[in-house]
Amino acid sequence: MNLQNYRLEANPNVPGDWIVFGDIYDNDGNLLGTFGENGTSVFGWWALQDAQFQQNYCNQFAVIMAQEIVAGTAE
Amino acid sequence: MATYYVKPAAQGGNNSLAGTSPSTAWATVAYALSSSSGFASGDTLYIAPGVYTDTISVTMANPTVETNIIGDPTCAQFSGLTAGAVVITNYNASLSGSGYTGNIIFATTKNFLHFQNIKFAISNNSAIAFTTCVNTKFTKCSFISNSTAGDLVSITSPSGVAVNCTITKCVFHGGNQSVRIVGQSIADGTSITDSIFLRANNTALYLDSVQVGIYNCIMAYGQYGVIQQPGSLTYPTVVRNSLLFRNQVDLICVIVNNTIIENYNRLLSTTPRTNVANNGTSSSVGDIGIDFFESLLWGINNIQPFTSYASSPNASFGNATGAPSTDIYGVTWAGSSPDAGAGTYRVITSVPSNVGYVANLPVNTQASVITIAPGSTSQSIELYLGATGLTASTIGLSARYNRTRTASVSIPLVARTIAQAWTAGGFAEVDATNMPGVYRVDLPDAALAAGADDVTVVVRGASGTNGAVMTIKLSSGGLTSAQTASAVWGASVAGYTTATDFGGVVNQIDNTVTGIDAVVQDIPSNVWEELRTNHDTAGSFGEYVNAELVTPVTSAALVRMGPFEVRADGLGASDPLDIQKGAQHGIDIQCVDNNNAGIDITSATVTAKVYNSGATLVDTYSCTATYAADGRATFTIDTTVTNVPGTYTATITRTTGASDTQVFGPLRIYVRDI
Repeated sequence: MNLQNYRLEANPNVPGDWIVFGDIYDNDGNLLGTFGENGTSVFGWWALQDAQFQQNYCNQFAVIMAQEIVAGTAE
Repeated sequence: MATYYVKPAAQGGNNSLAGTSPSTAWATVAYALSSSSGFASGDTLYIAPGVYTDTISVTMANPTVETNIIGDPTCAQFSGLTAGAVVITNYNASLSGSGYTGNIIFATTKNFLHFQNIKFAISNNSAIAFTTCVNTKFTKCSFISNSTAGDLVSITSPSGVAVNCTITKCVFHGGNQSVRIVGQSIADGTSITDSIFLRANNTALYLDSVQVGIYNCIMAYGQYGVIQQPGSLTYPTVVRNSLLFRNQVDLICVIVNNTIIENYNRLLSTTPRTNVANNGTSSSVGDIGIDFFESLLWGINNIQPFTSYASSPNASFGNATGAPSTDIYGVTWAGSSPDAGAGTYRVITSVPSNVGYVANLPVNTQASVITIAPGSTSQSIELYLGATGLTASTIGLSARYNRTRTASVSIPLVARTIAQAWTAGGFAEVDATNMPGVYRVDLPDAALAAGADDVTVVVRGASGTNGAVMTIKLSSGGLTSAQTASAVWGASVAGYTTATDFGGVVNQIDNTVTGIDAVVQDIPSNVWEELRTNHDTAGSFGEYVNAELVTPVTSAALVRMGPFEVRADGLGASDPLDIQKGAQHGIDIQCVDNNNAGIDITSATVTAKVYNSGATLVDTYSCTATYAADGRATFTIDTTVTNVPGTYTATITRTTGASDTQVFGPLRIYVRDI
């Protein structure tokens, strides 16, 4: 799976949210999908995932949060 | 172009010394690279094995030509020191705890520094933090961090100047980014080849506005393999012949798409490319294709980890254009094209001396076992020491032996040429050109004396060699041919008389053993007494004797013998008849008077009567006149007589009437058994 025309933009309407843009291709160059003409909101997409999925990634994100807290770079 | 040296203080290093020889080496790398030492552009600095905990600020004058800082793990420059890793660290000296916080080596505008054979053990921050430094090189260095923070190598160039950094045959582990290079979006000769990047917390190669040629590298277990931050479509980065796996994204361009051009790579992560064009020469499927220690675990091969295994999908996957000609270990690619990844497939018989080091332990030590008869004298052995030019006086070189469960004994080495006679401790190089690294060592006779199971010989200690170990089994299995002959022919017969074995047969005196009589003096008797009926095989000598000498009559034609003159009046015969047993012959006779004149036998009946030695008539034969007027006649004697050897007499009677009988002879007949 390869991404083309990938970019991130801050969501001007939702502070802290980001919008993902880009096209999704397979390894043979076939277009599989896109993040949409207007991109996909991270917050919006996240809220649509089930609790198991969210818990799984929160476990990983917690480690990063901890590192940043200890490093003093986080609030 | 001066040469300087650094060795640990524990080994005598002292920053107050001149630093111009191993014996006057400085103690710290920090001092060497400072403005105080005198180390300058174009010079070479050798660093002895050890752990250096310096905070190194490079304050020497800015070099204008390549200036070498070289670790010397093999102690090629430092005789008498033990081979081992050259470690520069911000851990503590035992690498077991915290040291200081900060970059290990940092510099601003110091160009042309070339680091080689150094391990950087990083607890925090960076190993290399170079600001506005160009033409920096790293060869055969390792950068090992257990942290997720800090860029292991961070280099920037001045405005408008290319970075021109070279990284080859290096290994990186951990950190936030393995290598971070910030350039100027201009043509740049920076290259990264034959290197391995593992588990960068963020990115293995973080490239900011810099053009880099990346060939034959491995990048794995990171968030990103290569990130090209604002790059240049005019001066894009090239990634070729590389192996990337278990990254979140292997290759990603941020801000400007397609500033990375990739081809002939194996990109095996979930997302091989983001904003990077797929040109169709790379693969994103299949096994990783490198050895993960398993061949060593199974003992089936000796393949260095992270190199291609046999028939790997990485083999010859790459393209030679722009690629290095050898892999991370300096080995030419096994196939017609470079592999994907940093190491090509090969099976090694020993760990080469240029690969890896275990502190305080020699590697590449040659070990072998031979057998020599106990008590042998003036023996020489050949050992492989892996270096040429060693002599009996090479500094550090020593030899010792120890016999089973006894203390070691020194073998003082004595200079020899290869053809010179043995002398205890003799040491000679066999042939530096055609048999490089092989040496003759003359063993003291005491080492091989009887009374021990084995003796182990060690030669070691010189720079450039990890030494050799040879164990010599003291066993008569190692007898020379002359010793074997002496042992056999000189053995006492007393212990070898078992009737059923070879010794019993050879040593028996009077009797036949196991059907064999091997006593020489018995041979004539055995031959002459042997039954000839046991030896009649067709075509053999025995058959010839039987057929031609004993029973020739069976096939012989009738032959005639005589004439024998048989005389009247019992006066005997002219000659005896000598005839073989079993023969049948015509016998010619002539009846003569006392004057040897023939007696007319015309119309007479002439008969031969044969008597044995007991005067018994055996047979009577009628004679046929052959010249009657001269008394000549013949009869045929047959096997009735000749079958029994012995002495016979034959009388010849001439009868002309009923009462007129005259007797001639007798003719003596000998029948002989041959």
